Order: sequence, then C-alpha cells, then structure tokens
Amino acid sequence: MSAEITESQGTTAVKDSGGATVAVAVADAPVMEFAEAVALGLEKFGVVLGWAPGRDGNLAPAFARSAEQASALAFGPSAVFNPARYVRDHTPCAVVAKPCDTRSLVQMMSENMLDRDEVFVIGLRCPGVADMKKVVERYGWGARVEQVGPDWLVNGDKADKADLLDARCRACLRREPVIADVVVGEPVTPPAEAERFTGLPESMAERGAFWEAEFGKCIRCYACRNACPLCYCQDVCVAQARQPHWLTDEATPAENWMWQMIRMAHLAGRCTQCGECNRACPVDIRLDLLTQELGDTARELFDYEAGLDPGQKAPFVTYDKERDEWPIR
Amino acid sequence: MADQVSAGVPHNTPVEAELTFLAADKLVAWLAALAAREGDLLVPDRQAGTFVPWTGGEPDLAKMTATSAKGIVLPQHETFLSYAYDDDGKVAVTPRVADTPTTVFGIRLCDARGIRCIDQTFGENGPSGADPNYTVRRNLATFVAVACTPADVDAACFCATFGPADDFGVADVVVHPVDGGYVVRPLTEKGLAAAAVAPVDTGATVPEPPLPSQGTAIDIEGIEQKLLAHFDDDELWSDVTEHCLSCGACSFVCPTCYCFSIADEARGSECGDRLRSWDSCGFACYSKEASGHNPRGRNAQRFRNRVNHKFAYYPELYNLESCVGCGRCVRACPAAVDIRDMVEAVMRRPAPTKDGAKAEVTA
Repeated sequence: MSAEITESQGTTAVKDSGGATVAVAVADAPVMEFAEAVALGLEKFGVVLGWAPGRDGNLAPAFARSAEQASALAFGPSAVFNPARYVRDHTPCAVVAKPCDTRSLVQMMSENMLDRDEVFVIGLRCPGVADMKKVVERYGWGARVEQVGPDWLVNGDKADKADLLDARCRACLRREPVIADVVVGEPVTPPAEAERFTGLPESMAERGAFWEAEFGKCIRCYACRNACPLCYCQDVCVAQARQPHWLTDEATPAENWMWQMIRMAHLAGRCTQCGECNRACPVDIRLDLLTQELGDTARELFDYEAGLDPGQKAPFVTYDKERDEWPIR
Repeated sequence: MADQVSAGVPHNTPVEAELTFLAADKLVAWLAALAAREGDLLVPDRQAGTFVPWTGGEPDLAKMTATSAKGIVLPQHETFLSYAYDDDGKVAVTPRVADTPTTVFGIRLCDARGIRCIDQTFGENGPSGADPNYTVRRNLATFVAVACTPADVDAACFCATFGPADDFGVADVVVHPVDGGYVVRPLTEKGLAAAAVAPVDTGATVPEPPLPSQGTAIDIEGIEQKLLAHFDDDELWSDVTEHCLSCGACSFVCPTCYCFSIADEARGSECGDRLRSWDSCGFACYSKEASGHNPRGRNAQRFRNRVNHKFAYYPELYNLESCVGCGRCVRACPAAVDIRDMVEAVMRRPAPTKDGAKAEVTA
C-alpha cells in the first residue's frame, strides 16, 4: 500500500492507496504549552475564543479579552463546544480548536467565509471529549467531569472513560489539528478503527417508523442549525422565510423531516461531521446518523472529505458531469 | 365559546378535600380508570422528551421531561380557522377550536406554576380577555402533578426562588410519592373527579406527605428595578449573551414562554388555514417588521427582552415572575447559557451612570 502525501497552505495530508486520509500533520507549527499559546493569541488579536469553567465547573464557551480571562481558559473532557461557530462574529481573533473544530475552520476557509490571516489557530492534539448527555444520564445534571493525569474524574471520583467518551470521538481518527499556528499537547494515538454511529434499523419500513418517531420529537428550535459552524445563513434561513415558502411552522414529523432534509442537502459535501447539531438537539434526535451518511456519500461518490484543505472545493461547487475523469464510482 | 365547550365538565374551582392513600401497585389501575374517561390521557415519556398518550404500564415519573407541559394548553402549532372559496367565489371562514378533554398525569409542580403564568395573559382575566382556544383547552385539561422527591431535583432546578414548596400552581390533583404508594391531594373540582376514579385504600391511614423537594433559590430581590435601570446597558447584555447561539431551544422548552406568530398557510389556491405557532426571541426574525427593520436586531437585545419579560415586565403587570425555576432552559441550552448567570450579573452590576439613569426614565 503506497501513501500519497499532499501539501497545501501549511497542512500535509497523508492518504493511503485507497484515497482515504489516514493522517494530517500541521507543518511548521511550533508546539507549546496551552497558557503560552493563549497568551500569544491574546497578544496577536486581543481576543481568544475557547472554553472556561462555567457555573457547574464544566467548561463552557468563553471569550478571553484580558490576561485574567485568558488564564481561565482551559481544555478538558467537557470542552465539547465547537468554538469555530463563534469565529465569524469575532474576526480577527485567536481560537482554541480541537482537531474536529479545525476542520470547521478549514471548511469555512475553503468556502471563502473565513480569511486565514484573520484567525490565529491554537490547534489542540485531542484525546477526545465526554458525551455530556451520558454524563447527565449516569451522574445527574451538573456532574463535573475533569481530566487528572490520564484519568477522567466525575465529581472527583474516577470514571469509566471508555464509557463516557463521546461517540463522535470514538468515530474520529484525527487527533492532530488540520490547521494551526501553534500546536498544544502531546501526540495522541488514534484508535485503530473508527467506530460507526449505530442504531439505524435495517429494513426500510422500520427506518420509516424510526425517523417518523425521531422527527416527531422535533420542536423546531433550530438549535441544530444555530450550533452548526457551517449554517452561516441562519439569520436569513429558508426555514423561516415566506418567500420562498418551503416550510410551515407546523411541527409535524413531515415538516420537521423536510426541514432537516433541507439542512442536510445544504451541508452535503460540506459537513465535516463535527457533531454539534447532534449534541445541540434538546430532544436527542439522531442527527449523527444523517451527518454520517453525508460523509459516507461524499467519500464514496466523490472521493471527498470536507474540512481537510483550505484550497479544496466542495463537490457541488466543482461538479461537472461532462468531465469523464470525475471519480464517481 | 369557551363556556359552551366547557359546560358540563368539572371546573377549576378550588375545593377542600380529604387526602387519600393509593398503594403503589394500584397506580396503573388508576391510569386505566383515567384513560376510560372521555378524552385523552397523557403521561411523561423521557424518550420522546414530552407527554404522550398512555398506552398501558407504569409511567416514567423519574425526572421531568425535556419539554414542558405548556404545549397541552398552548400547542406548538394550532389552526385557528380554515378558509375556502365557495362556488360563488365568496370566502367561507370556519373557526376551529379544540374540544377534546385531556388528563395529564405526571406534570411537575413547576409545570403547574408555569401554566398559571400563561393564564395571566391568555386566561379569562387576561388583558385582552380570554383567548378562546387557550381557555377551552385549559378548562378541559386536568393536571395531575407529581410532587418532587429529593431524587427528582438536580443542579439546574432553582424553583425555591419563586415560592414555597407547597405552592401547587394550577394543579388539579397533587400526587405525593411516599413509602409504599402515593398520597393523593385533590385541589379542584376537576381534581376531585380524577381522584374519584382512583382505587384508593379507603381503610388505610394516610401518612402526612413530606413537602415537595425544591431546587436552590437565587437572589432576585429588587431585580425588577435593576433590570429597568440597565435596559440600555449594552455592555452588560452583549457580555452575558456572547456565547448564546440565538436558537429557540430555551424558549421552546420553557413552561412560561408563550410568544407566538400567526401565518396564513395556503393549501393550494382555493383554501387554507390560519396558524398560530410558537415563536422565540432567540430567532433573528423575532419582532422583525414588514419593512425589514427589527427593533431587536441583535441577539443581545432579544435576550434582554427574554430576561426582562420574565423578571421585570411580568412582575410589573401581574405581580408574578414569568419564570418558575424548572431549569429546562439551562439543561436544554447547547451553549451552556444559564439564565441564573444573567440574573446574577444584573444583580451585582453597579448602578448605572448618569446616561443609564436617563435610560431608566425613557425605558
């Protein structure tokens, strides 16, 4: 098996002979301590987007504009939020980003929604974060998760890390930032195999019932859209437009399903599977199964993965049916 | 209209009634008896995140549902009227009013207090008179509330802020979990009717039920004036809302948020429906005018409206906060926004400067 290595705008993609990206390394980015990197970001742009402890001690999205605020920034198993979502409203800025978060940044750059020069990326090597819904289920709301040494503690007691590790992290082989100005942390050995999101029934009839139940829960709060770093037309979203008028406010399974299909269609070939829509949903609709399908389809049809290279263009941007060399298999 | 539909059904009139004891193994039989009455019986379903028709078996009474009980009286969407052109080209309008009695088993006391908040605006004594659809649903609904035990309260609950533990809101019956069963406390005529079909143990000594457990109170002493004084404190509002994603999760799970929009939905060219549906001050299009102007164009302005509505405007109008401390918004928020943080930020904010004082007069 021969590997192909391509370099573009400071990142190096390593692909296996099948075309699947197996590793991404950031070239020429210095490795430094977290506090040092944050101080550098603050000095450069005056604001650092990241996470700081909230009311319950778990990390919450935070915006540091002073040395004092910067000293509160931290990373840990409760850093589940994708700070890339806030970058557009804060440029120029520094941002602390997990590898999955850097993919959102890269995708925004490839769509000309973010200027590389206007963001200082503090890229983390990531051991994974917790599934906070599972933490709540197991320990009750407000349970505090933290990393001490190699262990995760919940309310001070050692917890089952494998159990609490977020499914999106079990599905992730990329533990290095895709893009970074500085890198923080020790190299992380990715799992041997990416886990799949499961739970979709086999037969189409069962799937119909499954999705009808899932979208029967939807309250049309649009948390999925608003948490998505790539749903950047949210303030003028077609879902709430009268012209064109594709949806009503009727929160029926059919309308709710239509809403999510519109959103997914707009994310086809763009979604980096950061998992924020799935995490954001207050009624736990299995959006991870849909984003996984988006990723699979883009890979199978177009040999494409979003958010790996600022220079790449999404399939739907470049698609040309006359091109016989197009890698549709 | 409301009176016509609700005529003949037991009403919301408070009653003094004896407490009774229901053995734990008789709960399902009570549910079956409630289901046999006219109308629907709903129970909490944590999987669905809401209240669903009872299909038999033990209800899941551990912890509250993700969404509140408000949708039972103020549905997420409802058709007010349907219109259609007749053969002569005239428009015929058909009002549509719900008329199915509903019994809801297993709401929380915070839900029952939340519906009391919505009653102020939509109920019979509301500023615009009774909202017909709301009043019909409200009068046809029987709320069986389950009192919280210590295991039901979590770190997001802060209901003690808003009243004593024995404030049962608009609950028709309260069910207190005790050793071996439940103490049944009817509070209204509707509640008496629901309790009457419970297979209670008439010979049993009824234990004194413990006071319902409550979440920790926060300090809101004087917040109404504080909020009005800080109406134009843009730095405050921008700061506390910076990580808000501007979605509608908090208001849609809230038991007291009732903002709505109205839209005509054409069903082809000949007929259509007029819908009322939940709206949220989170949405960028909230309060946007037809001209395109939005007096609350920024999220900080919209969230200010949310906090002011709950802690300043409602107390001013009804002497009642429009927040019951259920914590659903706190649990639902995908960005860890906590309304308690906002309240505390307002409470500890130094008094406004001269400009701020001027704003207080004009606000």
